[in-house]
Amino acid sequence: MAAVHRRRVGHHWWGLVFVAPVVAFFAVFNLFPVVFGFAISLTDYDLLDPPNFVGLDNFRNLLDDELFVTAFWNTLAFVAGATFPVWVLSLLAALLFNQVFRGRQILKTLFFLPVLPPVVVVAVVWRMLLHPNGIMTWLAGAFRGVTEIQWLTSTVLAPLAMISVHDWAVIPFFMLIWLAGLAGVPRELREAAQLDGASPLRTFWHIDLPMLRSTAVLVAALSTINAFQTFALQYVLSTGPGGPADSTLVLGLLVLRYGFQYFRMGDASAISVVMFVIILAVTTIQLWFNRRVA
Amino acid sequence: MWPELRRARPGLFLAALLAATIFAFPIWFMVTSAFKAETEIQAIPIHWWPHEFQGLARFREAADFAPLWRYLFNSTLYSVVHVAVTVFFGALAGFGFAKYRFPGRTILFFFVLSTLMIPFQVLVVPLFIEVKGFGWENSYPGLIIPGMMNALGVFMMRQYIADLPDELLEAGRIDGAGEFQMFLRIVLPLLWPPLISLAIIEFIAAWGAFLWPLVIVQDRNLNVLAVGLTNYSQPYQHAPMWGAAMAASTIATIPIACLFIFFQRYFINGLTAGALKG
Amino acid sequence: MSVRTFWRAALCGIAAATFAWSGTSARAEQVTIKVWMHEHPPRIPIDKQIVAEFEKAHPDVKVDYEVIAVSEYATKLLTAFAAGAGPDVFNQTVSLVAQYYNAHILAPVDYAAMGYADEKALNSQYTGGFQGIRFGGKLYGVPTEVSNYACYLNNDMWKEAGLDPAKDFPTTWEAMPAIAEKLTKRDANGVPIRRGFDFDWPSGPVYWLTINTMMHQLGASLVDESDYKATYDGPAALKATQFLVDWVNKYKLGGPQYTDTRTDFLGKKLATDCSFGIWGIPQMHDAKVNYTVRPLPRFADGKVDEGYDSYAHYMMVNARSSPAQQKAAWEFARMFIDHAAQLFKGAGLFVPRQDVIPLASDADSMVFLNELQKAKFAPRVVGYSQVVDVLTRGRDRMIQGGEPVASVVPSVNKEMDAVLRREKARAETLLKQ
Repeated sequence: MAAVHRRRVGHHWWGLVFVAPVVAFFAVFNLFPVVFGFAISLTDYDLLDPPNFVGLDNFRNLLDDELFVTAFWNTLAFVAGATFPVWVLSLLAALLFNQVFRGRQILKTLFFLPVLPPVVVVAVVWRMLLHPNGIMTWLAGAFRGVTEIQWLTSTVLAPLAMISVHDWAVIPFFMLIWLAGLAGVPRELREAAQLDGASPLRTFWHIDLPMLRSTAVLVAALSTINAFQTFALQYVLSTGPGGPADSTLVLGLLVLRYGFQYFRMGDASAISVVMFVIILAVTTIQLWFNRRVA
Repeated sequence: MWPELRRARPGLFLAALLAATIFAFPIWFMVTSAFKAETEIQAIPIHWWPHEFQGLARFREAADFAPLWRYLFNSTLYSVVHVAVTVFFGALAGFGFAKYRFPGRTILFFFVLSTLMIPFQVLVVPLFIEVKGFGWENSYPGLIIPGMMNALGVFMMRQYIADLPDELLEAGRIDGAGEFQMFLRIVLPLLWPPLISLAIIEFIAAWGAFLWPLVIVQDRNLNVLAVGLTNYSQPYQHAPMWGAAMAASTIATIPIACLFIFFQRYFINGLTAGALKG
Repeated sequence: MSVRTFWRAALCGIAAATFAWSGTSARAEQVTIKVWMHEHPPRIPIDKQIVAEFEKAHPDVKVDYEVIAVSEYATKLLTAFAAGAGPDVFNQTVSLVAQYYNAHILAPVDYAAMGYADEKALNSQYTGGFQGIRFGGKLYGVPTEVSNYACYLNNDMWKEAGLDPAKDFPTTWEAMPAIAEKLTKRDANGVPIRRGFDFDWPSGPVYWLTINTMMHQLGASLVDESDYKATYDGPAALKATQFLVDWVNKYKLGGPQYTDTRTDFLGKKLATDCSFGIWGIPQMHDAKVNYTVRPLPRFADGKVDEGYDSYAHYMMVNARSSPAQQKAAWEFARMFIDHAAQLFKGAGLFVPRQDVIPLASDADSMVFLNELQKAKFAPRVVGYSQVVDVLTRGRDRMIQGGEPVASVVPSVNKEMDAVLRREKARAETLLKQ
């Protein structure tokens, strides 16, 4: 009896044992690098010699750095383009495929295909399709006799192409989330409204939308985090290290450039710190939003 | 029973057809191009089907130009280790967080959760220096170990395990089972569906891992398929080899496509569950 | 016997055996040196032959030879050095050596190990090529390649356009657009489907060389190497840049959106290319291109008769290796440069050495040599990669973004100067250590 009692009280320490591997792993490979990164951002470190403390110099330099300023605005533009259109279009797609009609299953599966290949593959395929004298040019311009469109080498088109390809790749995924959310809307409510003679639009507005609030916030949050985390797409689709006149250079790519091309680890870390702060700010705002809604 | 067959609504059908075409076309083009002659791929007007079926010629070209089999092997190794570690330790930690009350539980849980929000670009430079400090640069441990755990597993499993009744565990304890034994014999068997879903998502993530391999590996033979693909699309001082690129891309897509076909429900559940349970 | 006696005897036996064994080898122990070279396919078989010869001549030294792809080479070298696992002997291009020097990675030339009495003895074998590896008056490596670009013309395409490659190639940049137009094939929209002549836009380093060369031809320079100052301003800068921008936007003869010129020229999709050195000749033969070599055009009112800036590759030794390894490394370097004639014949790698120059006596090689005599060395700057990126971004802004040359050039100059100033500050800190 006493032995069982002791075990019942003591067994909670096992929880610590069970979570220890994961916690230890993240402490070594996640927490430590973040803190270490903050430290490096205060130094001038070229990898070959010991780091040299320079205080906030790296950050001060960033303000004057054309490259950083360009990357900063490019990142904001990309995130905007990767969230708003995605939110709207994936919702529309979900509404469409939520309807019942002949051929729905097959078409939905086809619509879902972009999720299957790894992101690199998506990027490589689109890089091929967006060749200036290639397939997309033909599809977009052949009937008007246009033979060359500089999708990836025009300072205006390149960022737009990047956003479009990204959106193309993620919309099917977010459609799934919306569909799951829509599935949570009780059918009886919808059917009752339709029996009362409400049009599909009014049904959506008054029944579905309110119940979809938390899904809506979720899609917004996930698409934002996803937009900041994209890397492979921008890396592969940019002609040259950052696209024409660095118009597709985003902060994530810039970190790599400073770190592994220029070997200025201090500057690279400073940029990562800035990225970290931006994401923290954006996530906090969204979490606060989420609380208000839920 | 089959509501769709009864209701043919042409308006919706056409809209869905347009959407499906836009989203499926590039994938279709990728697979068919893997079987076309190099000159046919960018042919205008577009060749929807290969006019001269090339068999496996582009695939052979891909294997000759770069170490394709090594890439496949490395990606498989990376993904299998990642899935095994994430699923097992994720479930274990999820179990610990869900069913045990120990001091620091909340803080540690939020710590683990916070790792999901940090984009890898923020970690990459200091992590590289750290891993180099271990002597792991350009090596298998350096490639595989730093990314082999993912907090999503912990998060997902904790949700599912929390739903399991406490009585199960109490009964196990009364029967004299050890805590870890209970995890293996009682908890895990009940978690098969979400474990499979988790394994699938983690496999997809690991299979497509790009940034870390790019940075830590300099040796072609150690690289993963995701990075290796760029050898075909952006070769150094060589015209892009689109046929080989499409062949390698098709190969890279096959595992995930198979998972989708054979485990569709788990696949979809995995994608949404991770998101929705938040 | 007692246990103690037994162990003493055993110890003596072991000691004796060790003495006997070590006495048989020339050095105290076997030395392994790591040799890293970048990937240049024609040179690799010769490398392997040299390695074999070296190991035979030095039985106590083992050579661990590795070839690394060019795109990964710089990164791999740096991470290896940073991890303390760098090669003992390595080859690298002049634009990147200043960085190694500042980090105290380069060992000064060990003349004795190489078998020379002093620097003069080494120098006397050459007519130049060392200026890139000289720091503070001392030499830190030996040249394995000194190259400059000239222009290759595809004879078949020139003749097809009714032009004589030997006589009609322009001597001035101003005359170039008209000739290039005759060689350009366009589609219904005026888009070039086969270019007549284009610059190698996708390559940052080639653009760097091109702009430097053009400014030298106009009597100015892009950077002041000794002072880490950017001098990309003034009429020369504007004239050279405007010419390049007009090439794409006004004459529409090519541009950064097209495939790089080296690939297209070897693929017979381009009529003229000026981004190959003398090392391109074996590649022309392999690609079966029927070619003529001509010197680079100059500016009509340019003050200086200069061809493309020259650059070099140097073989250097890791100062962080053990003394025994460094000695073996310099011995290897000596054997490597002694094969200069073979390297030229087999891989097209030219060094201005007494035994190589006579081999470069055919008409094509003479064009390169004559140009080389009139060439300035490409400037060495630390922060090379970053400066080149600033330059190419400015170029893209003008060419693809349409911004006016007059406003972009000064802004690029300012940015380059800021980069150089930071690098200078860093170099000063490092060299003090």
